[in-house]
Amino acid sequence: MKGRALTVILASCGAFLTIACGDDDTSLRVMAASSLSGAFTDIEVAFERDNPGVDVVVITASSSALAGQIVEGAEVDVFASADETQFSRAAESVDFEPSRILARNSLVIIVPPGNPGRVESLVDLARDDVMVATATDDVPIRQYTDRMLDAADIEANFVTFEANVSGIVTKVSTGSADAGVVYSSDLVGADVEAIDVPAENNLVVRYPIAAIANARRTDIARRFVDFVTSESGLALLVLRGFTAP
Amino acid sequence: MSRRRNQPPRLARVLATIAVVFFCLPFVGLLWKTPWSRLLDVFTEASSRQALWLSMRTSLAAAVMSMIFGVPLAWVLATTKFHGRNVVRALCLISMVLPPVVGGISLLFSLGRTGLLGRWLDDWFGFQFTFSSWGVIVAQVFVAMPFLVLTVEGALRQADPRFTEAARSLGASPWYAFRRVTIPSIAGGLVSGTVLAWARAFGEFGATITFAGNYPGTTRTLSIATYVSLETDPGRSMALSVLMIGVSFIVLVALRDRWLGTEGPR
Repeated sequence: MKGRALTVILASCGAFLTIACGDDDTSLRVMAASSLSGAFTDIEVAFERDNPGVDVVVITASSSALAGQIVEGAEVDVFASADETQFSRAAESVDFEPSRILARNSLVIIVPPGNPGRVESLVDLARDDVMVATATDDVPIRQYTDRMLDAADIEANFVTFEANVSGIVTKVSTGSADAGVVYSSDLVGADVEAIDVPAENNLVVRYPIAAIANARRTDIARRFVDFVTSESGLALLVLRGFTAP
Repeated sequence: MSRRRNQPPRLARVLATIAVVFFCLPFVGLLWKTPWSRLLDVFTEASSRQALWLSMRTSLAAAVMSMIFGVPLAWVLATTKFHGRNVVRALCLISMVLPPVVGGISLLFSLGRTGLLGRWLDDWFGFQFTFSSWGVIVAQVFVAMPFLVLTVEGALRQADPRFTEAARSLGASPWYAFRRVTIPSIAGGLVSGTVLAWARAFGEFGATITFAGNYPGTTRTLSIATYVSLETDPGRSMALSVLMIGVSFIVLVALRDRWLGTEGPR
């Protein structure tokens, strides 16, 4: 009996190890800001097609969360951040190659279908009958939003601080909140209406990307960054609402 | 002699020890990293107290709501036979295995401002759960009540039905017999189910932030505050985690000896 129990335990340990250690040398860990998740899914497919045998694993979260994970020692081969502050934070603990700008983004006001709060411009975000969703103050979208609102001297009626951009989109698309400020690229596929912010109030968001330096996978990581910043990479980004750097 | 025979074999004890280490190690790791000198500062910060107070209020309310609706549900599931009972039970317990975020999204689509039922609440009363402490309680009840239902239903099935039947045959009304005979006989199960539901509600995060949002004082519970400060101030986050562990641990240990009736070999 004891022998059989041991066999079962050893067998399950073996199975567990096989499952847990599927990661091999050719898999590339790409950490990307949540706003890039759609575009990077397309890029992953295209890159894997051009580079047989390479398995790209895209991990998306808010740039601040990703930078935090990198600081805590999470394995990363490529980091694409939605702002330069979070990129520098990560670069303090991990050696990256010089970063490049992969794309630009701008800010846009989103409202639920039908615009129940009748939001027309930035000033409406200060109305106390308009519930505005934003993110916690370490998430880049919140910092950009604050910068834009401060410049226009508007104090928005925030009712919730979401963990990331997709939280804002969810609260607005389900009509729980009347408005939110997100990246233009977040409009693709979202069930919301957009209200443009004029250029004089808007700001330009630059996305830095870099490959890890002096590592076993630097070569392939660099190839991935080259692809993202190439013509074909940019085309995929533009399809997802980004603009050329 | 008999005591020895009841002891598990050495292999089981070794595996049990590994399980204990597995559960304790994360706490040791957390305590090891916690900035102890900041503990008092963090605990006395207004924002932490506000979050703890909100978590206490909402989780207690959620436990009470779970009891009010969960005990009758368990009673029905344990004692009445009806067509599709297993399906009903599965539907009522599914939120235990669901990722809480999925629960939160489903709540938005049903009780949110434009949700199936929520739109009427908004039209008629101008009320919405989202962004209010009521939303926090709803999210907590949704994920926590199954723990109570499961525990109480199990206790009811194990209880000897003859006492209740005797009370009924002596003329007691169903409610009276349930209150005075059945409930006392399952007191242990009822308390442990309620405590489990409270603990789950106290720690609830995913469904809460998805359905209710995150705003200091109204929806930012201690678990959300812990998560939010993880990125900006990990030290604060660890101190808050210690607070959460402390509160839960005290409650679980205190109630276990008194009520849960699982004291092990005497």
